[in-house]
Amino acid sequence: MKPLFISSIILLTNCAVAGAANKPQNVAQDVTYCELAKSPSAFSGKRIRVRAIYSYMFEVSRLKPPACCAEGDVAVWVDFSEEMDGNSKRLFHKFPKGMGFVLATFEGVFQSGGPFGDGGYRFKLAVDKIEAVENKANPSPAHRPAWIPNCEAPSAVSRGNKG
Amino acid sequence: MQAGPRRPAFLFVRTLLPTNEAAGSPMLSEDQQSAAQAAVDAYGSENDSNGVTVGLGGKGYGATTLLKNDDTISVTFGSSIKGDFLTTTIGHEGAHVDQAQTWLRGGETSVGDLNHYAREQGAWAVESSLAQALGMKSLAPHGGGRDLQVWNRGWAAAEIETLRAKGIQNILNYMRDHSSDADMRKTFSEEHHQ
Repeated sequence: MKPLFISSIILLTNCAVAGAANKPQNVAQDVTYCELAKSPSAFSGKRIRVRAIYSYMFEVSRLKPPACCAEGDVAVWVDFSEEMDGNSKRLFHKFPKGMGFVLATFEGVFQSGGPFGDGGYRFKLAVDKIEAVENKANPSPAHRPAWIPNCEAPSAVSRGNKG
Repeated sequence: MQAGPRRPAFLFVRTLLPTNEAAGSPMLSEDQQSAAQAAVDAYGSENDSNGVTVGLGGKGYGATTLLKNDDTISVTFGSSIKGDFLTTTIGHEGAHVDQAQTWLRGGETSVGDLNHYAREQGAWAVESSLAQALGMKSLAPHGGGRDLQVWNRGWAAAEIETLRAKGIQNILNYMRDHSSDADMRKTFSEEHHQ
């Protein structure tokens, strides 16, 4: 009976630890975009807060870097929770309609595995809080404002790596 | 076709009818009709277990077609899409369903292994045809200006194909800008099961 009792305790402890590992933390971990781009899997299942550009139009809803990263980029699909707080919803409704770019700080649970979105995304941020919207615009490709970096240009990384 | 989240299948079947009708419009050329009909047919019929699931996403005007790891296909429509725009969007996403099914049938290295540029070009062509068949005043992605129009009732007949192609090319440029050229170049085989 005693070994069974000890086994039960070990099993219960393991379950508790596994449960804690799977459950997103309530307190968000601050992450720079470049840290996310460098090792996205490290943040899988975690609640994070990241300053990034939300880029969207029909069939596109993703994060883009606020400044180019030496590490390259990662395709992160973005979903917004319908349970966002009132302030976040107010900010969200002020985004350009239908398509645009929004530089802000986003908080939510980061997920890996995928595929997400249109199939090209292995990672997803389920945003439930929006803070500090710094810029927003719906420009044409020919009139992109300076705060939206073009990181695919040959000299992109040398133009900024603050992440 | 199966019902996905928040979308009873019978409601979608009803919504599919105008798209089906527009696909057969005599206002379209045979090629246009054929492409639009293939997009409608790709959804299959209610509960036919063809691996296509249709559902509603959150609020908004977006839509996605996702080829999942188990080779089933999930189509999601933003709940704000309504009327003729919904009819044409169903055609657009149906074109993506058709593209995914064609690639799955043909195998990894088949000619159906399209990248996102090619997939979007085909889907916007179908959407433009449906807008033409419905007699819509104009059609562009939600939030887009005149440069993104893939259909405008005021276009002169002789200019329709040129202006349609220009609108689609502009949309591809915007999509590249909003995602990335590297991601737009990825094919089914580069993304599926990776």
